[in-house]
Amino acid sequence: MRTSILRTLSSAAVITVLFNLGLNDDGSISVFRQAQAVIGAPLTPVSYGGVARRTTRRTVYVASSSSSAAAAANSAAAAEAEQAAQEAQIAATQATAAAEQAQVAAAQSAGGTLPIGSTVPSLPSGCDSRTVNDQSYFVCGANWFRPAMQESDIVYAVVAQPV
Amino acid sequence: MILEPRYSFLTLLVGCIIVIGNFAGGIANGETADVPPEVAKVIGGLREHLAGIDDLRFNARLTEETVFADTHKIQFEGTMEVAMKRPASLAVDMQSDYHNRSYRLHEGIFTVFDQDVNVYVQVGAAGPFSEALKVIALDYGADMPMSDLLSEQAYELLVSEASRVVYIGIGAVDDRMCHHIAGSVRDIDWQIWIRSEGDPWLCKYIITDREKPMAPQFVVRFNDWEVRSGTPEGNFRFVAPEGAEQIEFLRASSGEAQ
Repeated sequence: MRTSILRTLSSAAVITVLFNLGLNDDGSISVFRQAQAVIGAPLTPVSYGGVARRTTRRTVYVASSSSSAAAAANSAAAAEAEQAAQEAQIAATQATAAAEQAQVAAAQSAGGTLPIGSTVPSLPSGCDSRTVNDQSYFVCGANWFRPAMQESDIVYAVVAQPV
Repeated sequence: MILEPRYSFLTLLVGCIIVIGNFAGGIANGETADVPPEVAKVIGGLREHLAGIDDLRFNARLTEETVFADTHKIQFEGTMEVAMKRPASLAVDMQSDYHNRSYRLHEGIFTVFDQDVNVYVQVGAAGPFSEALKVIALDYGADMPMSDLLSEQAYELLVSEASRVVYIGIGAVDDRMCHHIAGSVRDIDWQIWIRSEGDPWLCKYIITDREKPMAPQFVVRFNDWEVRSGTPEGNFRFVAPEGAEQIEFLRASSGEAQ
């Protein structure tokens, strides 16, 4: 838990809010912008680090609540155990998210239909913009996307074709 | 044991204030025997000063380092304009090299407006700042730098677990003389500068991450502190610009839209 808290002090934690920095496959540096990055690209070191830091941040909040309760019960050991379990759960969630992202990347590279609700950090080239019911959509092959905010990033969520 | 933050928000800047508040509270309660008396006096003075302010604004310049391939340090810069008013109104406008955003917390509604994409999200975040922060962080994973310092463990984080807290001296920061205090918490070094003349405002704050290669730093320089009175509530209310589109704020754990 202590390590988790300390990591949140990391200066790099701010990068995802301020700059949304991304690293290209060739090692060059870019900033994720709409339709700039390559859909399905593997998580970059920076973005992966951001995910880890954000996960850590959530952990801290959970830890804070649990620690208060434990203090009231004078049971530090129980708090530590609970904290460890929560961290394990968050780690599992993160692993699941990474697996889902890999699936999205595989489906995208194959030109297939992406699952509704999955997200990509940026749109591929060649998408058409559409406005339906006063809402903006992007049509990329068989997939319809809507911009959304995920944590501190603008992403594109796969949605059902609007009627 | 830990004083309830008077100001708490989503940014490093406000986080710094909370750190100071908690820090000074701990000292006042005599919970840290190894903190130099100069440190207790200076930080206690800042906390006491802030405790009497209900309506406040300030600006800040931020410098962020990141390390590429473990050997290449890269730097970015940004600015922030922050206004806050008790009990729970806050407005932050951020401009940086690559990102321009506005944050608003007003009447239990939290808004993030991305000027570059011209979209915004809104979610309910009722209660005092600290409670609103928890909702935003836990439910939506919004990346609010150092917002964890608003937790009840902020004091333990910086002081109780610190291996060293030292008073360095009085130095100049942007032509103002400021007390310089430094601490070390495991692989993290922090430094705080607090004005030594006039009102004890924060001058500067640095976090050095020794855990990472090349020890990247995050630096905040504060300026233009201003105590206000009767700032209109409308200043904190988000009004969507023409053409801005509201988008979904995906929940952190499930990835489902709100």
